[in-house]
Amino acid sequence: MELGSFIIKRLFLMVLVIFGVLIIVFVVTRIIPADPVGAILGGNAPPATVDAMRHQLGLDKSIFAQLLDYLGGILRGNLGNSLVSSRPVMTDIMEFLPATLELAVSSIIFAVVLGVILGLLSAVFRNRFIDHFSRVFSILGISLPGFWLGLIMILIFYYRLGWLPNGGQYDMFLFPTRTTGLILLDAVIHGEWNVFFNGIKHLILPTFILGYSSTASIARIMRASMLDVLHQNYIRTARAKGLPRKMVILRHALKNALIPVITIIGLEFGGLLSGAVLTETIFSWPGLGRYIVNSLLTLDYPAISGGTIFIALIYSVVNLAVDILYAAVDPRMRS
Amino acid sequence: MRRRGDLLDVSNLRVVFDTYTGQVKALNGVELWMNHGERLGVVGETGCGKSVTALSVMRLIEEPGRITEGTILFEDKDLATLSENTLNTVRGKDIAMIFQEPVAALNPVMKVGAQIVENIECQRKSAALARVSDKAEPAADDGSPKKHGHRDTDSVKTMRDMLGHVGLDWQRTENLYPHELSGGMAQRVMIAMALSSRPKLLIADEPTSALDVTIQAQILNLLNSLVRETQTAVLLITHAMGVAAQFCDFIAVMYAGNVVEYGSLQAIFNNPLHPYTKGLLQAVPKIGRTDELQSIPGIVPDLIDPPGGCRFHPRCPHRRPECDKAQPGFEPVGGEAEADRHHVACFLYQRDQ
Ligand SMILES: Nc1ncnc2c1ncn2[C@@H]1O[C@H](COP(=O)(O)OP(=O)(O)OP(=O)(O)O)[C@@H](O)[C@H]1O
Ligand code: SF4
Ligand SMILES: [Mg+2]
Repeated sequence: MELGSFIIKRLFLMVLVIFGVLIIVFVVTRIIPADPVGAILGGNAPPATVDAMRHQLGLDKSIFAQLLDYLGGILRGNLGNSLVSSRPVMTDIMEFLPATLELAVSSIIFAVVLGVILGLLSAVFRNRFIDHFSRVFSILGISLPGFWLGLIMILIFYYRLGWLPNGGQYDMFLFPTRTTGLILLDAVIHGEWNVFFNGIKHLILPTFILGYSSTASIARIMRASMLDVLHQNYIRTARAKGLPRKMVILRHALKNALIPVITIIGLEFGGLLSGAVLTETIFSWPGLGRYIVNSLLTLDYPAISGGTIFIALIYSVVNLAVDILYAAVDPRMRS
Repeated sequence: MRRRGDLLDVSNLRVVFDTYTGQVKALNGVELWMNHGERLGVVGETGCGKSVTALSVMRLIEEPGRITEGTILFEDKDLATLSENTLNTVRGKDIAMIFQEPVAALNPVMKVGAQIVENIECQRKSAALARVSDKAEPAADDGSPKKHGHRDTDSVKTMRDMLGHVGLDWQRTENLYPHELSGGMAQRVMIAMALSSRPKLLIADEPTSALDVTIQAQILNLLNSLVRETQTAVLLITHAMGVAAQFCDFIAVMYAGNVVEYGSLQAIFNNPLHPYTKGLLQAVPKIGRTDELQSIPGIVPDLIDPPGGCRFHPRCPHRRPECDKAQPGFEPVGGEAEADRHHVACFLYQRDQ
């Protein structure tokens, strides 16, 4: 199969998945035993007001009609209004999404780059210092709770050393020009380099905390896969050609060893998105994770379902990208 | 010690593998040699050390294995002591290798054409390096210094020619990935790759064992005609006596980490001396033979704790009192100058007995 038709097939699957997520979110918000009208009006509103509100929210229609309304709204980009702020949920999400994207993307890049390098060195210099170091680093990354580590890091790098800020996306006194909403990208576009470096400084700790456990899993998988690849027959063939060791590793082993790593990047990204909820709270990061947490606390259904749909959408897009990457690297996937 | 073959002379080669259950003494003083253009077949039961011997010659033994003793003279170099960098100018260039599992021997994520080109480029580079480092010889190029781009297209052309030589259509083959090839096609690709650098020695480790019977003959015939044209020496490893007899001029019979008998095809087939060789030849089914296929009684020894003295003594029908005390020397039989080069490691034939 050619790469093109592979992508089309995967796109079609993605649409199905998103549709499934929409249905589930809809059903869940209708069956949970809390009453949105009660949440808006309070427990002892007069029945006439309650009925008017039910009508206004479309809750007096049949469940099927409600589903159609809901799907139709989403197709027009309307996720309903927040019960708390009465602003369109879409507007809220567009405001908070960029910060989460920035954090998640920088964390996954950090995790993949560092994890692959550590795993590679670990396997190539097996049982030497770098291997022991990377294995201890990985065990810690998988076992230490992120919120605890985050607080410790803030304690060290903010209170003690004063090298890094303790939270937020940039310093309060800065007023960055917004175009895309992505702070770093906007700073580059407008040449606001002070904002850029300030943003980077704010990004370091949250990126490390959010990406650490993924770094650890990627390093472990990379190490195991590299060790496996180094024993394959084609590596012996490459050595028999008289290629220097460095070339054997970089040209023949690396690409093969990356295949299992690519398959877990998508999963790790899902983990990152759920981890973002906690990390954003610790670091006062103005992202979607914090928005969803706040919406949960106030039973703001439209906001919760809107946020969930967006998280699912990001997750699907990333996994689509990963699958395409997978097929591009491994020709056996295409046939 | 006297030099025995002007291409390759392996003597007293010992290889061990340090494993958790103990040290596997895989090669126990292997002796074999060959001249330019000759074909030597290495035969023996599974596990006797044929592959380890082949890999040792190219110094491709990996952890936990290592060469503990011995010399591997290739032309004027001792490969056993050469630095890794110098070895890389011999590997692929002077000595090439093909393997039992051709599909697994090719990189699954690289097009086969690119893999052959890589070999050609690598050998050109190391040849150029050797020329530069060789100060005695002035950099006598052919006048026109070729640009890099040209050299690349040269390599691609060579690759296509080689694919043609092994009976593959380059237009259809060069862009395929290994998993798209049959075993026979993959072995043809491996042969094209190995011979693309015009090596002096081709090591073929059971090149046909994993293939269909009909394909086996095709590949052997192909190999035969290609190396005959270029006068390439071949070290052919096989467990099939019949294949060795068809293809080779000389035979080395291995048992439990030793070459126990070595000599010309005629010497080994018409006048086998070592009790193990005799047993092995009786085990070969011959056309028209009606008697039962003979197998050698006893089991292949454990190489962590091998039998002392002659490693064959527990299974030997002719064992003598001294057989379990000392290792028999590897000695010529029938005169020094004999063209048969017949040698055997067995107390029954030691001259001073
Ligand atoms: N990586 C290794 N670790 C431990 N022992 C090994 C290793 N490789 C080879 N050996 C041992 O070395 C001995 C010789 O193995 P070798 O592969 O050379 O046998 P062979 O003659 O090629 O057999 P076959 O016909 O099955 O290919 C065997 O006893 C084997 O157990
Ligand atoms: S040396 Fe002794 S045991 Fe070994 S093959 Fe000869 S006779 Fe048999
Ligand atoms: Mg073998």
